[in-house]
Amino acid sequence: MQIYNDYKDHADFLTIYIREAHPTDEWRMKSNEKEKDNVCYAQPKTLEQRIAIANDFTQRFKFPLPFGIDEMSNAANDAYAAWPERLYVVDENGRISYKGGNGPFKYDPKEVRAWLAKRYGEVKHAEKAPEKKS
Amino acid sequence: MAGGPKDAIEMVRFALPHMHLGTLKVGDSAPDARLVALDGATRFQIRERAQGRPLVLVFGSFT
Repeated sequence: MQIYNDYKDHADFLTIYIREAHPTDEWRMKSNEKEKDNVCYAQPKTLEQRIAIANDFTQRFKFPLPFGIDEMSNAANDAYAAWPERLYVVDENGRISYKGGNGPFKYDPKEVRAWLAKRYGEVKHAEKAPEKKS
Repeated sequence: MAGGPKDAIEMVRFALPHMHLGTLKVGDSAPDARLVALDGATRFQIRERAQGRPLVLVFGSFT
């Protein structure tokens, strides 16, 4: 989200919500139950279910990025080989300018930041002062 | 990610069929697809969001 805040005056962003990566009825992750505050959903079987989960996500995190949901045909997911997570940059001419690796291990937002920084300059943030220990 | 035999089996069964390198390459024309907005009613195309500026696409899910 910091990348969005830093570069939203220069580039457009679109989050595309696709089929679930670790639903409870497929490859379930125990960490979703404990560490991620009960993120437990079955794989949506209808568009309405997918929309409901997407809304839960955006409301829970007050997610600011523009958002679109892949239809149940999974057309966007298939066209971009996106599952489970992936980043792309499409240039002004409608061409792929950056294609990220598949998540989780090859998903790297720093690469998108580097692309944007090369075009629009680096955005630096003041380092937070370390907390004083009492 | 995979912590034991159960995880490995579920990864093979549920994850591998959906994990693809894809055929898109840098320089290719970006595919278009129809999406649904959070209101559940509005439909729009990916390419509609390209407003003459670079468009960053972030694909993912909640779980």
